[in-house]
Amino acid sequence: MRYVLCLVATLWMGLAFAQHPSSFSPLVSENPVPSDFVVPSGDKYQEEIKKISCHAHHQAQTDQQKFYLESCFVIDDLLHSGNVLFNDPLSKYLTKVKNVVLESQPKIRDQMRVYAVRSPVVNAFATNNGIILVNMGLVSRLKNEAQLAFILAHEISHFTQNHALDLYLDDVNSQRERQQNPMGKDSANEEIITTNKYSKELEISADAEGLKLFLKTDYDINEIDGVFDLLKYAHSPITDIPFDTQFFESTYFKFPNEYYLQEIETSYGLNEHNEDSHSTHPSIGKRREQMYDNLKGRTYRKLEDFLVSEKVFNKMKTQCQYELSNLYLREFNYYESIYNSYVLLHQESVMDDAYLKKNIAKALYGLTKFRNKDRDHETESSFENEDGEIQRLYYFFNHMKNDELNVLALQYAWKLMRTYPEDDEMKSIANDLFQEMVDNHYESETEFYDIDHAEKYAPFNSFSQSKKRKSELKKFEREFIKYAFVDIIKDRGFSEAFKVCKRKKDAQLKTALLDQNKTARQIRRETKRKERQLFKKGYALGVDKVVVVNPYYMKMDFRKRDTPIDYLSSEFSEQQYADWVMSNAKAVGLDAQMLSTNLLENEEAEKMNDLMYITEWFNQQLELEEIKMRGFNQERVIEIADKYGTDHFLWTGIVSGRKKKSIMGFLTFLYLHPAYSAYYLTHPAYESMFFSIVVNVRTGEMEMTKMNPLFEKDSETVVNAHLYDTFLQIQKKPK
Amino acid sequence: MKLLYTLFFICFFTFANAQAPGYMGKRNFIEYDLYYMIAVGGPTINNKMYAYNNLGISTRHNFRFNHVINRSGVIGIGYDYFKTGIGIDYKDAEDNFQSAFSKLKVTAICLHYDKYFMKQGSLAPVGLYHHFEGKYITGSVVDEPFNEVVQKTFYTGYGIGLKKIFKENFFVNFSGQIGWTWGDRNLDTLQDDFEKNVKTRINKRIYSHYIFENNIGIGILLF
Repeated sequence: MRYVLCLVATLWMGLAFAQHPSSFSPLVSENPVPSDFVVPSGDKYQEEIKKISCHAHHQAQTDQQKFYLESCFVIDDLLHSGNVLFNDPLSKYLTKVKNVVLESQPKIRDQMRVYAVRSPVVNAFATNNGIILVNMGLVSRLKNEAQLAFILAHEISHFTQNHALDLYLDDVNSQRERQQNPMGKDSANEEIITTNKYSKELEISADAEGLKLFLKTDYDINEIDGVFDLLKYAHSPITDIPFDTQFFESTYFKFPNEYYLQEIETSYGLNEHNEDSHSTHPSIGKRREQMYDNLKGRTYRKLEDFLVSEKVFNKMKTQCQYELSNLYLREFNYYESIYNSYVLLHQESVMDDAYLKKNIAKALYGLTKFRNKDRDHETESSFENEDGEIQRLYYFFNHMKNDELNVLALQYAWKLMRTYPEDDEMKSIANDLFQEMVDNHYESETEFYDIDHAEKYAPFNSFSQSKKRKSELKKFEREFIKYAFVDIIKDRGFSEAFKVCKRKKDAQLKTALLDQNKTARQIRRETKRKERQLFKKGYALGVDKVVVVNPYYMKMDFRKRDTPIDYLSSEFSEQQYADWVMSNAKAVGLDAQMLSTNLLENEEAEKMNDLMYITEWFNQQLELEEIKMRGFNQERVIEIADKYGTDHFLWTGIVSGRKKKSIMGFLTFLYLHPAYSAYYLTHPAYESMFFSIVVNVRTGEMEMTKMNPLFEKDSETVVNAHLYDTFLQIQKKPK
Repeated sequence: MKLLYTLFFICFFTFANAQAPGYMGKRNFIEYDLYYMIAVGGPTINNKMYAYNNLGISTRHNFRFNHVINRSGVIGIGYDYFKTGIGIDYKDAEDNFQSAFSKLKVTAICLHYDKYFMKQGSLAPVGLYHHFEGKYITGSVVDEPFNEVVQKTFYTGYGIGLKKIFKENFFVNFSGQIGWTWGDRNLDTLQDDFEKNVKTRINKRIYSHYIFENNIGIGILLF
């Protein structure tokens, strides 16, 4: 019996441990891939235009066709962006709530799909083809399921009332009217106000219709008010808790008091009755009042906050809150990321403190890199623009000097590296921060105090009021940065890291000095010579296998000012281009694997997830290339590289546009070269751009960047010539 | 049998790909170009009347074999051929002025180098290119009363052209070219006035034929 009890206890402990959210893993899509992600946009468009009444006026039919065309492609672009998840636990939960809301309307319930979006913005929206997209930023701030149900009911009403099409047609018609009556032309400002007026009417209508739908459910009606509160505080963090001044401090490392904001601004939240003429949505106050009017005279009983599952709701909410820390990083919103992680670290039960601390380290790293390159205006803003407790965090960093921030970031990352020695990403961040510090601020460890000095001189325990103590305290405050590494200065590798970084800096200085001796003309000439060499000989990467990510093709017609993009041709060309890419790689003898959202099949959710990470990482690389900083989620990208058996990923595509022919050009050719003038006259003029970027995802280096303008039609032969040449250069072994 | 072999090799090399620069690895191609221009300063074979005010079109045939040496460069050898007319006034044995008109047959061996505009997205042998050419020209008049007068000279030229590929293996070529024929410095040493006169006329004719030309051509990629 004892044995059995022991076994049960062990099993229970095991299971309990397994269920304990000790490690956070982000949400990913799961099989099967819904048809929304697989069916080509062109096919969806053909299906949508069947809705257009053949009895409608010709102009109305054309406008509707245009709307369906643009919306199908724009929505699919969003679905394929990698930010929209499907069949993940959150999307599944959202779908269940949607089904509850639409229980009384089974036809619409089956028509509509709900997907979660990886975005920190508090928002949800419905498309004209029955998709509701709910951002993680919204879920992270909801109080209960009833609030979610009302938001979904509101979005469902947008779909059932066909608001997207109405708004588009209204906009097109007003534009047309303005063009027909140029005398009565409104200013740009008035145009916006007119368009927004109709949009606001539709929002009020969606609120009213959504309420009707909501009232059919058993959700608590009192929670609707909470939805407007949520919108009011949408720009604020998930919770408002004081920023602890000791969070970044240690026994000896203390920041001066002047870095901490004593009193925060109290004008918390958005003004409910703000001027909304330039907004597409009515002010929250107006919506709230309208809602009260709609509810007037109704009797209702207290109903449920949760109908699907409170447990799942809470789990999803927490999951989204954790996701936010990373999503803010992706958007270079470092302060928000730090505060979000800080808030979660101070909750009663912390799901994954390592993940949160690593996010803080990454945010500090980002702030340091941008600051050291004098580009802090891109990632930082003043504390005065913020409301609530987060003001203290903004104030703290606003007052911190560049060297202090660098030292703090390094100290934080180094400690984490020490705690998680197997984490390569943290190791690389700590090393880079070290180099940044040596390059820009402190060159030697002698500039910092060690434990012996600290114990002897730091007045950390005694705050005597004596004159001597006061002066010591002042000195301590002045020199606080020198105490930053007291705990770690004697770590193995710390002083060696200083030396390595110094050697690297000296080598760089030596090269810079050599460059300094050269005249501007010499440097220009050298750069040109290198460019010429590259043009003539091309790259030689010596790569045997490459993964081609989302081949891109855009067809345009520059002669059409309002709608230059030819969506249908672009989609067709994109599929064709993918074939050309593969056949050219084969011709060269290069092993190429395609990873494209347009070629997904029903059971390839894993590929979609890979694409999500790799695309996100690449977009970050593009942004961060100039400041020589690696994108985050490096670990996952390396996992993907290992899975596909190569570190080299290729982004390639073509943008091609037909342009107007010039009469002067024709006359010139007629005079100079009559035969070519005949060709010029009979063939349309094109301008295209071919690009190929090969990135080594392990090192983060862009090993090939080809941007070739093509002053001719993007015919198969021309494209093949360039693709073949690209693959040849990828494969060519360097000498 | 010879024809069969030739056909086989052309087909084999046309469809085979080599892993090297050039259009999808094909580095060698042959080309025929027809050069044309309004006849400058003299008659043509179609315009036999020796009169400057009559409009005529000068034409020239050129056959080339080209080889892509790198992503931006092509070298080649070629052969030029054209016939034109040449008119001359001379004094006969009785010291009377006579006018004569004859056919001038010109051939040339050419060497050329094409440098492609890579910044404009050209990739040898497709796209826009500079053309540099040198020729060794032989002009000969065989008709009476000239007997056989042969004049040899050198030519250097520069042009800009555009090659457009179609159907994978074929291309059209458009170009404009200016050139300079260097004449013959030894003419002054000639004792025979008549020969000197004829050779001077040949030089002038060749010079004016080559000075500015346009062309349209067609080619095929081989291997």
